[in-house]
Amino acid sequence: MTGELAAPHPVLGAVVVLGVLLVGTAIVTTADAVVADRVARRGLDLRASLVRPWRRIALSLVRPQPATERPDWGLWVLAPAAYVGMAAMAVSVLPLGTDWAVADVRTGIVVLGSAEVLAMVAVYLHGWAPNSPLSLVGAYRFVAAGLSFLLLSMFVLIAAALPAESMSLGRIVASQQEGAWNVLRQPLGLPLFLVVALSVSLHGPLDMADGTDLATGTVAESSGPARLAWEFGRRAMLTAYALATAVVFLAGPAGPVLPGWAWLAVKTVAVAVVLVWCGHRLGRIGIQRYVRIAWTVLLPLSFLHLAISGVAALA
Amino acid sequence: MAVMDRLRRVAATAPVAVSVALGHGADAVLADLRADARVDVTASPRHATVLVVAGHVPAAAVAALGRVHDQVPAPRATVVVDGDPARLDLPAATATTRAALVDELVRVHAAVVTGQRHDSPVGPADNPVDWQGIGPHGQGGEGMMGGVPWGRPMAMPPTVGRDGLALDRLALVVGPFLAVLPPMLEVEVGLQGDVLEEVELRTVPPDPHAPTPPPTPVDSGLVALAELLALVGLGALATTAARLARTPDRRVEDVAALRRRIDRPWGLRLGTDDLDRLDLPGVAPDPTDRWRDWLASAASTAVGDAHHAPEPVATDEVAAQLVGMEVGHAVLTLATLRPQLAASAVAPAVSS
Amino acid sequence: MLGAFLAVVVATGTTMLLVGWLASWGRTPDPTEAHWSTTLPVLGGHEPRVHAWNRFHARYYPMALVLMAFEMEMMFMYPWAVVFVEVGGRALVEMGVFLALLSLGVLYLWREGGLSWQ
Repeated sequence: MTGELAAPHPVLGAVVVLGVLLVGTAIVTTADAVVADRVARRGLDLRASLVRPWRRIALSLVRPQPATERPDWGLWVLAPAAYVGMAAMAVSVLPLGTDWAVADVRTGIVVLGSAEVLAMVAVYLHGWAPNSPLSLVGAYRFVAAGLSFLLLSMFVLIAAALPAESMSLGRIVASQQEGAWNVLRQPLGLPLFLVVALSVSLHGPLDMADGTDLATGTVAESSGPARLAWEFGRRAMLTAYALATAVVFLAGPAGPVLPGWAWLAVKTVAVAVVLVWCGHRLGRIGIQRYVRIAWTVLLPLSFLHLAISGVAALA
Repeated sequence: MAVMDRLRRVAATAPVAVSVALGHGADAVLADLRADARVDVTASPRHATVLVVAGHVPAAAVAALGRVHDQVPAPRATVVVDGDPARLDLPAATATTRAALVDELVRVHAAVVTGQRHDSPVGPADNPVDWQGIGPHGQGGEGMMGGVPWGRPMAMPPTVGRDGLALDRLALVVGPFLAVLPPMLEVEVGLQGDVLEEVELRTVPPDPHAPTPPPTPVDSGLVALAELLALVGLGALATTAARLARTPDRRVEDVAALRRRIDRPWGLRLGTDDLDRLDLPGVAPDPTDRWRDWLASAASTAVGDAHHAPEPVATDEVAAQLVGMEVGHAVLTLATLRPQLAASAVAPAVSS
Repeated sequence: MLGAFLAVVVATGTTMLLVGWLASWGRTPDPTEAHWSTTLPVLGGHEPRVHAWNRFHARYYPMALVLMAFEMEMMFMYPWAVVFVEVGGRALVEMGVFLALLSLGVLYLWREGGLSWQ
């Protein structure tokens, strides 16, 4: 395979991207409910675990969005839209099957990086918009985290581009089929990228924006469909990053017997379940510790990762 | 609309989203709610449909309770546990007992969601102060900080800041019903950025002639642990801790099992290991040791040893230790002092 | 290639419109029409004295500056990554030197306490 990807009509592509985000979010939501009940040792009533999240969604849909004293309505609506939009942007450049993507952009990893930066802006705006102190603190705390994980994700993606000799995600998959999967020849990349995935999707131990310690931070003033839109965004982002992890480290659609999209789905769900499980077992880390570890441990590790990947690519 | 009616019927069967306003001595009710799968305890009243008022709410906190009540989005309802709604100025609220609470919540929630019940706001409908901002967002006036929107000024720099920087200081009073703080605790802070620059801490004391509450039937240390777990985002483990807290004949093995699951560098300690050490009489300096003490105490009462009541702490000494902390750190630090703060609310400690 | 970017824009735009519609569903357009006591920010019972919006003291400001240096360097890294295998070991050494120089910035930041809030 050459790494050249076929693409459907843009309108069909948009439908596919939305479909991927919706199905992914449904799977993440279900996995979250099942893992939560397993961790809480609530007994093995699987049906209750499966039904509960959908009832919560119905509840959100019938509840209103209250006004705060002087909110910035425009940004409050834009923030969840932009956040999910950036998840969609990431999904649109990722291969979704053998030789197939919604958009075969040759600079795929640059688009992924831009989506991440703009998602950071969306989270910040979401905390700014309600004009509420705890939301604002969540927004600024997230920016501190964002400035720390940005470099990790860039180095990891660039390292993946070395053996592919291209910034195209199709080529990155193809190079893994020609050589070894990146999870083996770039062993530090996967854990580093999972850190980024948890951070940017505001999940579990690295959820700096919506932490319960700030009464849920940026989402503390939201209710009803607006809150649902935001929670959808978090899970859509988790889906997009699980998909990116599967593509960059687990050779995406590569695998025997099953069709490419099925292999990709299996790998993506596996990554998503690991991330969700982390969220229920790992306590949220303090922001100062996060920043310190990101700059003094993870950043040098990402340099090392780049060196290992470089030597491996030349070997 | 048929679709909305169907949605409402499904929503009525969802877990009851509850915001809990805790007075004094309400640990048992909190543990009940956390442990029950039919209830979601929310961190913000905006996420709730029903407000639960539990424990003794002093007269001094009634006005604050009204504001929290109004922050639950409409339609809303309130359920008061073992108390008098009229005394709390919440005439529409339902009174119930601790034993009947969750069943009552399920009924009230269904009534609210299907549009059969709505408790009106108790606060004023109009801002007591006129709109004084210049421009539609109050952005007018001189520079960015020029307007006085709603008669409420923009934050302004202090004359002398902690860092000698002329950046704004946000003066806030949080509590006494903020779900992330220990009950009945009010924190008056001057925030610069997200760092506490000035802190004043006070507990709202019980009314002078309030009836002495009966001894709590749950393990307060484990309730505090459940709250701490919820604060670091481990809600599922918090239900386990809450369930254990309300089990009358706890087995020491169950306490040990819970400890094995959370006392690891990647468990709860990921959240607490890095908190600042405290220098307070009668309090373990290490933040992780403080919740380990709760587990140790739960284990020792499980084998029949007498329960040792926590020593009260002086709130001004705690406040002094919070200065310079980041907001999230301060919240977690206060959560690790929950038993001591509850003790000092009833019998204040004198600073040494 | 331009067609590919069109697909990115269409997918992103459609998603944003749909989610924006969901997020704006049921909002009161004018906050002044809402019952005032329901509009106070979540603080657990007290009225705020000042607006939340303020000139925030971001303690990580020095960190943001160091990040900026790395972000500049990232622009050179993208083309470098594409020709890396072709150029070979020399490219690895060159980027190693470049990153080592930038790392001095991180060391300086760390020594100056730029990664701590105090």
